[in-house]
Amino acid sequence: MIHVDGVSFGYSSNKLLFENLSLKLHPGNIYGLLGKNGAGKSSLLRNIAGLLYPIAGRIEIDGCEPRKRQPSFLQDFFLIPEEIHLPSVTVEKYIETLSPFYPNFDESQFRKYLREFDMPEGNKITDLSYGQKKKVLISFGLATNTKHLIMDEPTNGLDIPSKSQFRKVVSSALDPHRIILISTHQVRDLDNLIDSIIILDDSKILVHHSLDEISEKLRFTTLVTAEDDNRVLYSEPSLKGYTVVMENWEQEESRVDLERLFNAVMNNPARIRKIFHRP
Amino acid sequence: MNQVFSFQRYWLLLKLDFAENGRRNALIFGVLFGLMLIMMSPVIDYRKFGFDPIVFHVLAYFMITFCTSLFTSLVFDKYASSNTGINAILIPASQTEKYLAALAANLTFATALIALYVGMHIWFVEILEKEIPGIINKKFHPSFIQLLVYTFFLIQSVCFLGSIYFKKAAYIKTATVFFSALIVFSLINRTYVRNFTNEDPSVSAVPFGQWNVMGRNSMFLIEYSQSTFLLIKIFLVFFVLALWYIAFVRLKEKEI
Amino acid sequence: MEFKDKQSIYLQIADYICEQLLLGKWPPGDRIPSVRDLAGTLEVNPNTVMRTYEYLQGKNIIFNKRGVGYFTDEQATSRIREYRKERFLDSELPEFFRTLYLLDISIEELQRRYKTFIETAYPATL
Repeated sequence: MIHVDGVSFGYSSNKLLFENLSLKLHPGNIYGLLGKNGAGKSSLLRNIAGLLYPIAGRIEIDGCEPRKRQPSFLQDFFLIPEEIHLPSVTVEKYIETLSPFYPNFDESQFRKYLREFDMPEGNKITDLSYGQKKKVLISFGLATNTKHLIMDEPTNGLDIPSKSQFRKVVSSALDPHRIILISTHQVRDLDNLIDSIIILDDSKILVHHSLDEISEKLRFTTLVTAEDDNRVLYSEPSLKGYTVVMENWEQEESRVDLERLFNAVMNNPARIRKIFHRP
Repeated sequence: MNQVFSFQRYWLLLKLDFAENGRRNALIFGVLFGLMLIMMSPVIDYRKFGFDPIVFHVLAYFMITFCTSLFTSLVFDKYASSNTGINAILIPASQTEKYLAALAANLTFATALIALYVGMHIWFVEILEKEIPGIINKKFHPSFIQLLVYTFFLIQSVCFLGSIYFKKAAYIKTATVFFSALIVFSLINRTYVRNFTNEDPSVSAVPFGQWNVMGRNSMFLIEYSQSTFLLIKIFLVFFVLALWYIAFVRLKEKEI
Repeated sequence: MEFKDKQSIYLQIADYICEQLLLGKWPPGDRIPSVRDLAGTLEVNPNTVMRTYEYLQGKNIIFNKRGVGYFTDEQATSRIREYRKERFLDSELPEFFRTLYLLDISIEELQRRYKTFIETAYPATL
């Protein structure tokens, strides 16, 4: 479990990027972390990884504090940063030298993921394109079978077919012991892949719920008219009238549209908080 | 699981470092070795070009000290940029293991090079003295060799710390700090020495070294006593260890 | 798989599975893909597929053999028809009625058209 407890962080103590932030992530789920540019997504992930130290509060991952950077924590933790770097060796050499650090690394899985990504074999990493390097790292990260896997903008730099391969590969890598946390701007790339969503804005967490909970409280649909309907939180004109996000009074199940959800949350944070407030 | 040190992880780290940098390090070592061979070679008679061959032995020392210090200042280079630093910090090994692996790789390189230098110097001078008539007693005095070795390691450990301490342009900043410290220290030493001698005679003294006092007609040396000199040496060793320790603390607290 | 916009994903996956069964691609009594495999194929979260499987299990269309996997029920096809009928009457029919009402189409006209449709599309059943 990843437990972020009342964490504040900023690059200088008088200008905090986020304040008193709390999160609980449970195994067996794929979490999507959304937020505008500069909302502090990457910084939050780096705090969780122990690369940055919180100014206040505490982060605990399966009983370990990431900032201590202990081997037992690091063995079960893999981060794919936004800007990746791989050493200039062959893919073979890369797994030969790095995989022994991860006790649960599975080479056949790694090969399977590379095949899934249509990667040629036996290449020197420096000869690969940026997108291909990213595929190697994603495949490696998934194959380490660490309990905690964090990806910061993983689909940046991937071409169109790889995005679908990415969803395939990640969905098959989830198991009940694993937490996968993905931060992204490209919500469409995560469609149907994530089961819980975290929205970070203005140094706070606005939404931290499973999509099931969200579809219980909100309904995503099309209305002929969106005016004078006080259930509607967000609407945009479409061919058939208005696509809207509205309060789900009728308890009808609809498909959560991440992009519209994000816009609804950004437009109306106070109301969202009220809707999701647990009594 | 041992969270501080395990030989297995340490060994993996060394292998990883070797896979990533082994080829580069071997190449640098080879080039330096080649340059040393040319400069210190007993085959070439540098007197034909108007030089004392031993001058090149001294130059070779400066060359390897300079080049090794450049090399050393790259030890923690990967922690300077976030792309490579993230990888380095998140490798599943303890901070102690990572630090010791970096230190071991660096010390191996530096020690091998300076040992090679001293060995080549002694051996080549012997050949020179045999082969080329007129060259006698050119071998460095053992205490001078000691001085060279001490200075060499002092500079390496300063660069070692500088490599993790400064994020950008580590080498230039380290050199600036080092030389500023050296100047300040020499000035203090000079005032201190001046206190004991008259203003009149000219005195030259390097920190931790002997004093050359030159009167009008005479010149004499003032040396530290054996025991004081030993203390100075011990102090220098501790100084180097302190630099290494600060580097370790900096590495542990590195945020990216 | 192309997902539609409105309906929740787990129900769309349920429809997909039912279709496979009705088309005979997954014969009755046979093992169906594991949660993880199907999630990979459809590029969706395994928990969503899990929810679908539980839902279909509740409808007795598939069942779970512990440690082996999920299997289709021998009576799957008839149950699917039942379930689809229920869904149609519940959600699609009101929508259809609404359109009839809006466009002022009479039941008589509908009846006539339905008859013609069956005659041309499924002449063998007459």
